[in-house]
Amino acid sequence: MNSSNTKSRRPVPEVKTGLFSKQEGAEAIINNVRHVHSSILGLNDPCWKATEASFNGTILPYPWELSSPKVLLISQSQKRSECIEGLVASTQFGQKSQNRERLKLVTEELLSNSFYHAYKNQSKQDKYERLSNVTLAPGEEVKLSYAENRNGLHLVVEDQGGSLTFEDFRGCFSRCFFRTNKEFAFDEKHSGAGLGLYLIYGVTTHLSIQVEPGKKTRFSVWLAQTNQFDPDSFSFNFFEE
Amino acid sequence: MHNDKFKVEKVVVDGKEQLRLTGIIDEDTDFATLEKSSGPLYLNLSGITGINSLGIRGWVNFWKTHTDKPVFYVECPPVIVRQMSMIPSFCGHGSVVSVYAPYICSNCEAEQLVLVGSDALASNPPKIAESFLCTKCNAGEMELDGSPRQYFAFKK
Ligand SMILES: [Zn+2]
Repeated sequence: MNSSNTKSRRPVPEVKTGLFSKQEGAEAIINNVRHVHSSILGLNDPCWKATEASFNGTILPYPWELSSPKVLLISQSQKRSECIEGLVASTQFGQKSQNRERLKLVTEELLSNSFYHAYKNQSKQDKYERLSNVTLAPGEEVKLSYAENRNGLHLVVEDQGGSLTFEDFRGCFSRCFFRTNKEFAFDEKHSGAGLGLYLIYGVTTHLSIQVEPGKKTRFSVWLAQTNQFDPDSFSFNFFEE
Repeated sequence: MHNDKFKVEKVVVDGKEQLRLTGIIDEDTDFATLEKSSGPLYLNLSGITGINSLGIRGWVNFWKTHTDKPVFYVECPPVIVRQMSMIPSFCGHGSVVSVYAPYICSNCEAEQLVLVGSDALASNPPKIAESFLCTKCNAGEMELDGSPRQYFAFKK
């Protein structure tokens, strides 16, 4: 291995590759696995190759990341629905009702997560109260970008808080879904955000989260067209810089 | 607070009273209107156009504390079916009577919702038409939009 890469090399975390369901993927996440790839191509999947390369500090773009996305900056929580409606109407992807529904859900949950949970005050509590109209402080704007091709839509949501940890994410999943096999166990305090992240995982084909603590959280999502949608092929990655 | 995103109205279908829910289920939804009716509750969900995580939380918590009367979900649209498949306790103690399955034409991309009733839902996987001729272009086949295994996952 090239020693010049040592600085950016990440410790190789536990990974799950093979062919499995979203629920089995969620179970792996609850068991601390940060890189979950289900694909019939196995280790030959270009998506897995990009993840693997990143452990050695090589940045390969994920195959779903399209170039020249449209970019929107949002700072007012009440502008959210307007922005989502505009996004959906401007895409080819959103012309089909099933896609439209998934796109609206993912965008709404990602944006509200950014507004209400990305920014913390000094006592590490959410800075902005949920259920209230919020205007983010200068420099805190949420950046939303998207691009599409005939196979699907690539969506990125970035906040400038960088407060999400893998522990939080994992906690959401265990609270929301798997405490027992059938019971959906709610945590009154956290279920809003927790459930939102779980729903995002549920409807996306690929979900990659990169966190620079205290600086930035970047959610990169690929939504495959429903007719291209293969329930056996999906991925989840969580990187903390 | 008045909420014009969500409405509940009484309708009579085949001599049976149903509550028809329309609009969006979110943080502003007040489920109290569902409390007032007596006897078994037939909820027609065909008019629900959206639901977010806070709406789901309110919905599941509501049914947790209202287990006293039988509840039947009628004409569930895809937006609800997807939640039923993702979240095991979304239906609470209620039973699913019928759901809409989304079909799309392979030729002209016309969309059509097909009602899947209790007879078809009784088997797993449900007995649904694999394909049928599109009446819009008269050339393409209408097929389920997405994977049947995934769509009907709530059946397991
Ligand atoms: Zn057609």
